[in-house]
Amino acid sequence: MAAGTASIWTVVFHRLMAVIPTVLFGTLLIFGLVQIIPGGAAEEALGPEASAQAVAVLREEMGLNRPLHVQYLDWLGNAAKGDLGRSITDRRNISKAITERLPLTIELTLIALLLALLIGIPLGVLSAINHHNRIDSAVTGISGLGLAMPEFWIAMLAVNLFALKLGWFPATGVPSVELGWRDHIQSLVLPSLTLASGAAAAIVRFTRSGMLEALSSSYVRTAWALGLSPAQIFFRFALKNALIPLVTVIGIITSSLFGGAILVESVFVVPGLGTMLVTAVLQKDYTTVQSVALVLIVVFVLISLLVDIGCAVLDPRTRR
Amino acid sequence: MITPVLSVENLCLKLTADRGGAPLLSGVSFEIRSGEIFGLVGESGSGKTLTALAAMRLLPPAIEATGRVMFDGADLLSLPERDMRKLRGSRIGMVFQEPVAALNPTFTIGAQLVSAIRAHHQFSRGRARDRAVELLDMVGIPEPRARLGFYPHQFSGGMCQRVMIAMALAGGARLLLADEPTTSLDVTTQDEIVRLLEKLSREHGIAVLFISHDLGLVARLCHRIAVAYAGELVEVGTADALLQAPLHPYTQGLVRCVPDLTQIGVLRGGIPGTPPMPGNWPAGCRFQPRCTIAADGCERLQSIASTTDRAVRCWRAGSDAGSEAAAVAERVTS
Repeated sequence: MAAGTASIWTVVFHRLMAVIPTVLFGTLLIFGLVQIIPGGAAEEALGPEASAQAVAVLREEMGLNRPLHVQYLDWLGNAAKGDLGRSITDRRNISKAITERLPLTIELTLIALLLALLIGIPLGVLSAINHHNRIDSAVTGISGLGLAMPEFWIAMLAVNLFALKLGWFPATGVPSVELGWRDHIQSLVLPSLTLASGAAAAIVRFTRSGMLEALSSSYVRTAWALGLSPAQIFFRFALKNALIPLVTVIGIITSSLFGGAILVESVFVVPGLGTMLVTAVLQKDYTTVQSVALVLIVVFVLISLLVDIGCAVLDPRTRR
Repeated sequence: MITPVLSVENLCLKLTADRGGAPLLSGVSFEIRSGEIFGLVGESGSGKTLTALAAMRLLPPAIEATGRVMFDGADLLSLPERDMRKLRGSRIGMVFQEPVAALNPTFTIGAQLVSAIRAHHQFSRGRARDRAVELLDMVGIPEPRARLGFYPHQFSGGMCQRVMIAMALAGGARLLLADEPTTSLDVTTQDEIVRLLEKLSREHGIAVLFISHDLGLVARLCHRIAVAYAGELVEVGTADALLQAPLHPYTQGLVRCVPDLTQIGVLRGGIPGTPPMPGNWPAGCRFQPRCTIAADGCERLQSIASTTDRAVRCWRAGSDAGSEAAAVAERVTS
């Protein structure tokens, strides 16, 4: 008899332990990147006309004159305490700015993910059940279109049609929830739909192929031979197996949605992490870029942690 | 005359026209009687598995069936899908080869058994679990209640096949279609599963269609045996008659191939050549190109009264030439 099936919590503990070195490696990379900026971070930030004295002052202030390992450990220690320092361009508290903006980006990503799943999984299942007939061809065709269209282009089309021509949704900006949740949600419809389009198309494809594989399996034939109802076979016995590869894909998609949010936020002027990052990059505000990159790494690592846990919940064979 | 549980009448299978329309099975007829274990033997590609899938109406959509498969007074081939679904897993059960793959890897065997039970009985979840424990006990799984929470990958192949049999019988089947149920198992486990099927058939009066390529195994278990070759039955008989006095040259070849452990080191002669692919069947006798007693006349259509107790699809069988040639072949190869 094979080894026993470990509990979910054992899996969670092991994966959490594996997260720590990943995050540390990420911080080394980010720190290293800022170090190799040609000419130095302070010179770049101040521009070519800056006097040597101004550069020296900024270098001192940024702590760039200290030994590298001291700089790194100092940055890491402060980051662990939640202090990411101050922006070199406008002196604002970066941690505070991130905590103000991160929730909106997370909200946008999660709404887009939810939409993509709600559209993608049922369509993928429908397509697989109707393998090789018109419904399947239609779904596959539409999802192909969704995959082929770049998000920024869909964003511009959506703004043009739904915001400017039809006036159903605001074109730009997101009022905060305190000003009324209706306006808040309404303003997020276009950005999240835009963001979700590519993801939904990908989820349709992966759900379809996962379902087709499950439906042609020996265990589904067994289920038919046992006289189970088609609904139970499709949505219970086949779908659970089809979801296993899908969970990994959903993890990757969530990460790319989070990254894609940066682009979509710029188009729709959503005051999230993305607009903050774009502004910081344009202004050569390295401390802010560094901090946002760190937050992104932590978010991505957390997503992959959730994926591992999701796989362990769905597939008993991975709980070893 | 006992009325048969399952009566297959002139079953023909072929690919649909858009897939080339090649014939896969032609004119297969046989009967399985109540409580009988009926063996269906043949090489891969001879149409054994397709016969069972046709009876279950689980053929891939690219294969179409004609003929009749009578069960309980109804023709299974023309039954509406709804009614067929009520029969599957309740009156007719089926077990497959590769038992580990045939069970769903992401559900506990308890959940799978409970679903199979509740598909055919109005049982509460708790009552279905109790019934699942009874079924696991019946197929010889120790500590059945504790095993309900196990996943298929935690069981050996033999244990999985026991679970599979329990699931197939969950609805109270009177007929069990067993498609090579022991092929992927090692010899001792194979023996245990065969004994289990024999015991279940005897104690519960379940008729079994036992499909295998292993004539030795089939001979040990079955009352009557049909031999399939290239999409048709070539010989039918009781296990004793078929093994002691095979009539068809192909059956004679198969019998010669059964290993005899009292003669270690003796390599037994096989059957020269390979079976023809579906669609490339020769006219008349399909075994003719590989046959040692083939003669003029073999190209004519051969018939078989395969629903009787003893029948052969060979016009030369039983004739002097046939038995003489068989004897020669026996001497040459042994």
